[in-house]
Amino acid sequence: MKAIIIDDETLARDLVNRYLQKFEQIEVVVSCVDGFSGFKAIQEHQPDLIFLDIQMPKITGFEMLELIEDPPMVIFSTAFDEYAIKAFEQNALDYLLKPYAESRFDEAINKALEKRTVSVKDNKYKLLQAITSHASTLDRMVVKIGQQIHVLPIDHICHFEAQDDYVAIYTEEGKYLKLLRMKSLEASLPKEDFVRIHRSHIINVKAIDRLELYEKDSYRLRLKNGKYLPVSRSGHSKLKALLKF
Amino acid sequence: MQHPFLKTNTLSLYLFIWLVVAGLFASALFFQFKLSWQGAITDAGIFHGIFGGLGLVYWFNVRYTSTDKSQWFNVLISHVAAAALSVGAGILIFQWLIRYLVADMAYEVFLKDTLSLRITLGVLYYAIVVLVYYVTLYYQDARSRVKKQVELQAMLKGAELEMLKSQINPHFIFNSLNSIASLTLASPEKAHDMVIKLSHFLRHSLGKKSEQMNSLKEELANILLYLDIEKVRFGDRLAVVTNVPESCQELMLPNLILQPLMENAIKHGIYENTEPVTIKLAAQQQQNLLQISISNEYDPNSTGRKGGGIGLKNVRERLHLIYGVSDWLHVSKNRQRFTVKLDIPQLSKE
Repeated sequence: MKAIIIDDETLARDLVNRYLQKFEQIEVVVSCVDGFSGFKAIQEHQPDLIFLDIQMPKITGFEMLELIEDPPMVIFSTAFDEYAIKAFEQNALDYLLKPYAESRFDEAINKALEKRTVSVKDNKYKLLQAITSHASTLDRMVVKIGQQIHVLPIDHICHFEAQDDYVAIYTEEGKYLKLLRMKSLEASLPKEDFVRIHRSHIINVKAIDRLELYEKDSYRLRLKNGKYLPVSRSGHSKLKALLKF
Repeated sequence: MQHPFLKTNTLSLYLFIWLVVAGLFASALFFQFKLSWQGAITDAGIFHGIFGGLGLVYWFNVRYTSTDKSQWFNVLISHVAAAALSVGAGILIFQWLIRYLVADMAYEVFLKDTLSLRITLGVLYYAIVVLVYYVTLYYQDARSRVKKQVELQAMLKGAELEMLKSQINPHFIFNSLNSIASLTLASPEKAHDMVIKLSHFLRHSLGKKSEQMNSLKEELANILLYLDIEKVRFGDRLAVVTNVPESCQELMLPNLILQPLMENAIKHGIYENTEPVTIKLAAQQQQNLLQISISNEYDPNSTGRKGGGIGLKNVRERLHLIYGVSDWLHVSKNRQRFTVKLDIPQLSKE
């Protein structure tokens, strides 16, 4: 069984390595210090199991996991992250709270060896949703194009558009796709900057150029980049409430 | 509340004023009413002795009537009644005494002639003394209110400090404990060092009582301890450069004021960066200001999580609470470095 350790602290990685020594079936192929290199290593080595810290430089463990289409089994480890802990508890994934005892570690490994850990694949959606709903508002989004990871500050985003299971994210630089539901996205965006103007559209109010009457009784929005978006009746009243016109 | 005139120094002032008034009255009797000087002194002495004594009693009417504004009518009635009663009784006692001492017909006529004058004077004395009592009460009340306010402010400061202190990052503590767990297996001696450093740090951060000021030397020792612990966690990724001249070591600054700034430097420097980071800490004295700057390299490409600026806000508020005016903290940023500068006024020692 191939494993990867992703943690930004050397001593924390050392401890996992040491605890793993007695499990001959598990081979640590590589250790990574942040989410970027973790993402690359997972693509390259296709491990069966990863040990994933949450608070790391550049992107968090969760953000990294969002980017992986077919994630391996994950054992999370975190020191203190109240939102994450709630999310774990509700979704029965295995997680270790630092510092953890060797016996607790062994238990997690045995679950993994027997494939008893809930595969993240089945549960990824639920877990990530639980985390975004517990966490405070988003301040950035992590997306990928091919093997390239992009971190988008939330205020650089002009608008979102629903596209089947995905959401298209538009910035001035381009368009990115992310597996996401409009409803949970809407809930985690800062309320004073983003409005859902339509079933399939959420816009950044800073990107608005003007609101115009389209046909009798229906409106459309012109963005600063020249694009037109439809505005539903309820979207219109939300805009009205937020922008006070 | 105590009687304002029954303290040695105020009582002698009170008696002195009555003596002066009695003197004036006696000279009026002597010049205006052509009494003999012995007669004038006796008359004025007895009359003012009685009213001086009554004046001390008036306090109780002021003290034990309500100060509630809705009760003003009752208060007025009580003062009118007290004035009538006391002035009437005072004059009766005076007449009885003076007749006992100076019994003659001419004096009887003189007493009758001056009765209205004496009643007027009695009422005037009543009014003046009562007014003085009210002013005293008001003054004492205002003073105790100011005192209470000062106490409240100090309490608030203390409470706020407690709150700010309790904000030691749990992430830091649990990650440090995890490093120790790892070191106990790999290198027990280093684990031992780390436990001791962590204990010293926690003792300083949690154990400090309301003692608000601390020398730079002590604060610095604690900050370096904190950085040492982080160095164990992050190894070569963290380098620290300090530049604090010997002359600044004994200057004073608020307890734990540097801690949140250093935590910020670590958070934005180390937590959001995989490259090695140098944190610089410098201090200098400018006249009566202790100037401290803390700076860290940061990754300009990293879209770090915003901390909400809570650390900076807390420091700014604490300095504002302690020193008034609010521009003691300045933040600047260039392409690689984020710098926070603090000005700490040095109050002259009392």
